[in-house]
Amino acid sequence: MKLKTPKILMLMIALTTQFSFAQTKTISGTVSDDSGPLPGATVMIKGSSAGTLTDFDGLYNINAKEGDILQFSYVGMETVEKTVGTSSIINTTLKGNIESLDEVVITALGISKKERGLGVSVGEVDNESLTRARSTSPIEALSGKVSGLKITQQSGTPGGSSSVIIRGATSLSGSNQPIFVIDGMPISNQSFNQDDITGGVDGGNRAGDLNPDDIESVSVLKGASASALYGARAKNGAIIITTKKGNKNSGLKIDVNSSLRFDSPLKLPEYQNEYAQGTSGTYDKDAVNGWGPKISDVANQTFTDFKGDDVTLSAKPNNVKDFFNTGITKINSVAFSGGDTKSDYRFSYTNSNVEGIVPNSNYKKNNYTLNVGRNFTDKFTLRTNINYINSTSSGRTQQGSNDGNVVIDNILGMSRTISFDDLKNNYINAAGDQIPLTQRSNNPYWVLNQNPFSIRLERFIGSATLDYKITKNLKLVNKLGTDFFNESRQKLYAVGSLGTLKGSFTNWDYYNQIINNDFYLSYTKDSKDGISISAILGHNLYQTKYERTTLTGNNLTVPGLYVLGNAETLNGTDFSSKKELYGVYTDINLDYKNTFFLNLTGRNDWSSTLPADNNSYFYPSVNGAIVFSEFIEDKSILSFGKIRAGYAEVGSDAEPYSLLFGFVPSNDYYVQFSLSNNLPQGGIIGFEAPRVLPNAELKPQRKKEFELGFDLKLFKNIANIGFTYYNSNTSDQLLDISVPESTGFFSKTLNAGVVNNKGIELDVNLSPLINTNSKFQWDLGIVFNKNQQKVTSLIDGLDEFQLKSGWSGLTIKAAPGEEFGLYGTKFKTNDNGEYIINTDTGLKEVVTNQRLGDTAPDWTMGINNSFTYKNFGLGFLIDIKHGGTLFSGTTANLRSSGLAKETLAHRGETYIDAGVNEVTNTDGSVSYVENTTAVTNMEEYWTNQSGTSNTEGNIFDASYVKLREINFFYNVPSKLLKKTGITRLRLGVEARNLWIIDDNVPHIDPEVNFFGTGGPGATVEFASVPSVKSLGFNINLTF
Amino acid sequence: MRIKNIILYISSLCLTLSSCDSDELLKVNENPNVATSIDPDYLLGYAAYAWTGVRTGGDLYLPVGWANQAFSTGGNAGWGYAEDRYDISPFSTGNTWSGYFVSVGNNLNIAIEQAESAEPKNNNGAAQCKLVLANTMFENTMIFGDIPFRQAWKADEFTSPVFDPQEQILNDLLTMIDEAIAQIDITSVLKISNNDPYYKGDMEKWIKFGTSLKLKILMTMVDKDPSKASDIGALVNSSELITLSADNFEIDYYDETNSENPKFKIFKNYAGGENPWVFANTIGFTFMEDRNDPRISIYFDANDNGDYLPVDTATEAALDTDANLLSSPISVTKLWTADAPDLILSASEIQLLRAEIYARGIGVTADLNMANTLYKAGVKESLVYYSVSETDATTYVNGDLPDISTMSASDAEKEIHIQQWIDFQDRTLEGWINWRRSGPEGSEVPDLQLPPGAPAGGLFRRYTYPSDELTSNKNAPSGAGDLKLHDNLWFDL
Repeated sequence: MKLKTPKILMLMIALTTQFSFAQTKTISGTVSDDSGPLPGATVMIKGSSAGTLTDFDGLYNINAKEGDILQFSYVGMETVEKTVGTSSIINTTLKGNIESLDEVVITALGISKKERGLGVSVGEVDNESLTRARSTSPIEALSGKVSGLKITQQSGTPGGSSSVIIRGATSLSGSNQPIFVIDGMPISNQSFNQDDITGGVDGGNRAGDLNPDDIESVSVLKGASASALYGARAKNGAIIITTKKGNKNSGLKIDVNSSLRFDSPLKLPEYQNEYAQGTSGTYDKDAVNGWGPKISDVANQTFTDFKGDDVTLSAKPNNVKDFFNTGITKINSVAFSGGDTKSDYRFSYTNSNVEGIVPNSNYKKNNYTLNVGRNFTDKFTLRTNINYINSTSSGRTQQGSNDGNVVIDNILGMSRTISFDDLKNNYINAAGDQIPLTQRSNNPYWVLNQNPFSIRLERFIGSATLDYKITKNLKLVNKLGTDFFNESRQKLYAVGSLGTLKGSFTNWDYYNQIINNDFYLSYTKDSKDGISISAILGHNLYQTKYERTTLTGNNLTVPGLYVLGNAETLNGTDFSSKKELYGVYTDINLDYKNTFFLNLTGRNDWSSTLPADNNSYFYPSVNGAIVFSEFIEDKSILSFGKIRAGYAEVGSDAEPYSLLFGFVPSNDYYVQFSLSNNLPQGGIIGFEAPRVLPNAELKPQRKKEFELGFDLKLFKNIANIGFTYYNSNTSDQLLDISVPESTGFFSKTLNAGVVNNKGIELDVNLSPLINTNSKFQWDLGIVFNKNQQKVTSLIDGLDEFQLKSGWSGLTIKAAPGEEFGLYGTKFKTNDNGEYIINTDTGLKEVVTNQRLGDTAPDWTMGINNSFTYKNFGLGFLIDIKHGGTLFSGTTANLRSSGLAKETLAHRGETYIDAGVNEVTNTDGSVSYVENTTAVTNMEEYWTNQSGTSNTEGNIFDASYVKLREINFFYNVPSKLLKKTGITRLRLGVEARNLWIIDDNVPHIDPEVNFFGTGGPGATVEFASVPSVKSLGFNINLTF
Repeated sequence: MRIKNIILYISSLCLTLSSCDSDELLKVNENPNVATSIDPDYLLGYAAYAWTGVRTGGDLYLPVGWANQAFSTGGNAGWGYAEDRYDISPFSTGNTWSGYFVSVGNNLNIAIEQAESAEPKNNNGAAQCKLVLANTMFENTMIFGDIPFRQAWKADEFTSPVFDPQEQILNDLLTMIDEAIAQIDITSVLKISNNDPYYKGDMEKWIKFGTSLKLKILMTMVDKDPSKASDIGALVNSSELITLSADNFEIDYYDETNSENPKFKIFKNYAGGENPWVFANTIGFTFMEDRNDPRISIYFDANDNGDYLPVDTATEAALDTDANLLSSPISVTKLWTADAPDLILSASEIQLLRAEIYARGIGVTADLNMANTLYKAGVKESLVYYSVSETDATTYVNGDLPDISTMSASDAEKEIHIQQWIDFQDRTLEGWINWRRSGPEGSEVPDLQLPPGAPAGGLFRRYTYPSDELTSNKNAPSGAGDLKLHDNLWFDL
């Protein structure tokens, strides 16, 4: 691909930049609409491919001959034709086209529908909103812009992932992520994390591969009604991406976009700077904490440091801050587009280059896209989209615990006396051997320099749509597409790494493939009596393949050589799966007098993953809308009003191979603390029965959703209000329900459980000055979503269901009558709520397996302000999340290790924790007396209070208010650009995640999700890379 | 029209090709990653290593060692206070339970079914798996008490297996062992050989293991059920008991990456190959020091001054002014080595049990001379097993070791229990089982005290049931969730 695209590009340029040498003159003028000059209007010479666009001031210049007919056109306006006469100036005013005033939105299967007639809520985001403050990933750029959409960044890792949850998590198991569809082709949004909580990396999710600059618009199909046509794949909603394409009848247009951004940690912990590392006040070079001596008390003494040098101790207050680099993100793109009378094309190339804030971490991505359309005849057209993406990253930070390469906890929790410069300059000795941080912990720079985790990805997404008009009203469409990628990951342990002294490496190779074909017959008919009908009848084939090969080589002969032949022993596993889905569907739209709308859909799927008796399943949807403003004559207050309602069902299938029993070769056996050993061992081979009892009786999962809402445009479009109430039940969930382990199995796959999500969405757009001729314009957009999730039922006799498990009792669970919740150890209290304190130790006692709070927020809101004045624009976006519970592993570590600022309190003092002692009386009754036992020292207090095994001590309210984006731009006036060949030049300043305005969590950014994108979306943080704030510049040029 | 025809043709072809034939769909769902049937050999292979993974790992070996005071955490100067104060993670109880029932028990049961349903029937293979199953379930009930047994591993028939009383389980295990031994045909080539990690298919050794296991279980029961004494008397001099270390029932580890004994690997992976977390406990160390035991220098490391300093239970380890450890850790160079096998049933253990039988006169006439002979044989087997030379071991047992034949029966018994405690230094589960049966509550050997900081109530006598089992099993006994770590099991007087 790399070699071919420039040739194609040259060909395109050659085809489209044709020059005419006939006798011509320059015609110029202004194109306006009712509100003034109209930038971006197309001016074409009829019957030729020559044309131009108006500039920001509505001005155009075109070479034409007398007698030529100029066509002036603009989306939503009636096309005007004017013949060139003797005058060299032709001004024109375009008027709104009543028919096309109805904005269209792209819905399921890429079908455009009039927004006016939609019976369901669809969120729309245009390219401008996505790229004003650019992100390398289009997902992050959606944050705060669509009601009902919750985006959560997983970490500050360059190329890291973001979780998307629409209208609350519905699934008890499996993914809660929506389907991503690009130009009608459903694509993969896989996110692999093989090592999970023990040293896994945030490897990004595949939807993040797309380039925001190539996106024309994003439609978020939130409800089941909107996504019924995608069936199983869209049970969590759909994100429909339409990419940019060239304009027919236009000359070559070149767009250049360049952004340079500087990243730094958004929030770092607050440290104490008075105490050195050690235990009970005694210095210990092998401790990474703050429980050693007070630094000022030992100013005259020397101690051995990590290098073995005798040094006096001094605090390094900025050591952690100094560790992080200024990250640099460079995004450069160029796009060529245009078209003749029968074809259009757009080719773009984007290079994203991110140097992360963690030294030696980087992410590089190249996106090549080609979108070509061709009308072979009046009836037969073809459109082809090709995306080729390659990305590489190195130095992805390993997160979690129980892996020698996990250094982020030691970086954020570095002893106060150690400088990172010292560690950096002394990570190896003269012989090249590691100088470790402690006898147990690798020097972080050893890991950063010697053990970088790398990922390479090559991905191809391609689709072709053939469209044939059989008659004026009937057409056949076939969309065939594929998305496949190879992803290679490598984890290294250099020879000399603690824990793996002889060296080791693991290679993961993933192959993922989707093939999708939609074939449908489309019928449209407008009758004279005001009835319009459009209908499709279609067939879908959807096939996925997944292959994974994992190879670990141990004991390396030559240090630094990571090839299989260099490993003394090799251990490997592989896995492959395949799934096929066939569907037949219909979508019928009725429109009466552009006022009454009805939409019916139905789909029947046949899935390979369900048993023969249950593998065929049908699901319908119906929705409708009434534009009641048609009955109101006076439009001065209410210019548009619509009520809408919809009901839909979606069925979904199981994971492959859930039905039958089989024995798997065991390549390892479990040992706590990530000490699992390999099999075969000593020649002993192992096979094992499945841990999940298969079930040959599975049936499809069902989601039923009802929604109701209205859309209003008030005061001549000054205020636009959209409101939606929705209520969904996801039942017959395909769950691996825990069975008593005494049956020999952990769980059994079965249909069980109902999760209800109900909530409201509010979209308000205010443009107070829209109807004035003021050069100052202000747009205020507010999106709001309040979702209430409830697990209605599980299965008889089952009180709770584990969704995800962390360490030491920390789990995410579902329980009937509750939202998904965070569970773990809680401080023991008596009936009065007083803490029970152990009489011997003075420390709080604990009880295990207690509910600690809801994982999801109560509500989310985005407030988007946009101001323009003449050529200047300013916008900012505030993102609010309210409610939810967060577990912070970093806070746990900083407090229990005596590094957090708050651990200074009461050191060296007698401290008696408030609470009561439990006294068992002689008659067996229990009474409580006020605790008088002091803790031995604050080290013991914090170890108990905030140890990771003590969940409640590290639980916080996950609410936040964030300044998510700021952008400022200046459009250089076109008169300054005359003779430069540039038709548009925009300079911008952009900032992302600039400021946490308010939060309730110490030391970390509350926007975290350590458990990855696939799960229930809980806010759990454990040694994650801090999220970043970015500030940068952008230049946008159009030729 | 030509194009129209072509398109219509292609369209109908597409529809025909992309059919949704149900049989074809079912074929797509045939799992290419698994075998639909398997020899019992390989199920035993996995179960055996999964079992030792439980026995030697951080969910059982370490918590039991700390809570039963076989070794010490060293407080914040070592591992940190937790298990030594009876704070045992719910994951540890959960993983132990699932290890025994799912990874080990289920695969052994399927292996037994496969062996017995094979044509011809693989009797030896079934017996091998039954004997392993008997030992694993003996351990399981010693940890959790009443557990599902008769209805376990029958997922289709019993979705909530009933919890059987411990006494019944132990009797069932004795029956299972008898069945297995009766099933063994040492002349048959049908057996699990190459993939037998214990004896490589030496069925004579399997008989010895079965017989020894039976004696061990009977000894666990006899104080609660004195009727077992006669069975013990009938077995104590059986020639089928393991009395030489060469017949020990153990599983090997290797000094190779990811084949190491987990007791070693934890320090290799997380502590640079040194042991900063697990220390000699004063109780066991004092027994050894008082008896000038040569295993001291094998079990423990001396500090830089050449001294051995044990650590009291739930107490800080000692550091010098430079934060160097003064306390003695368990040795990872001599005891917890990478290739140290997991010793499950040993000659030293059987000999000391036989000594106890004669000292106490269980099913035999009390005979302290006989007891003394077996006591010395047991200690010697232990010494030699732990790398004391044959000569030194002989000298030690004949010189330093007290002569229990001159003691009162109760003192002799105590002395035997002390040697059992020392022998089980590295076998924390066996040590804990033995301590609980070493005397009625309050008279066990050693006389353990409640660790400082542990909740009041009593000494550590059981694991609590994992909440997953209690919540998912409708037949879990009422009140099972209220049990405490200090509650006695049936056998524990």
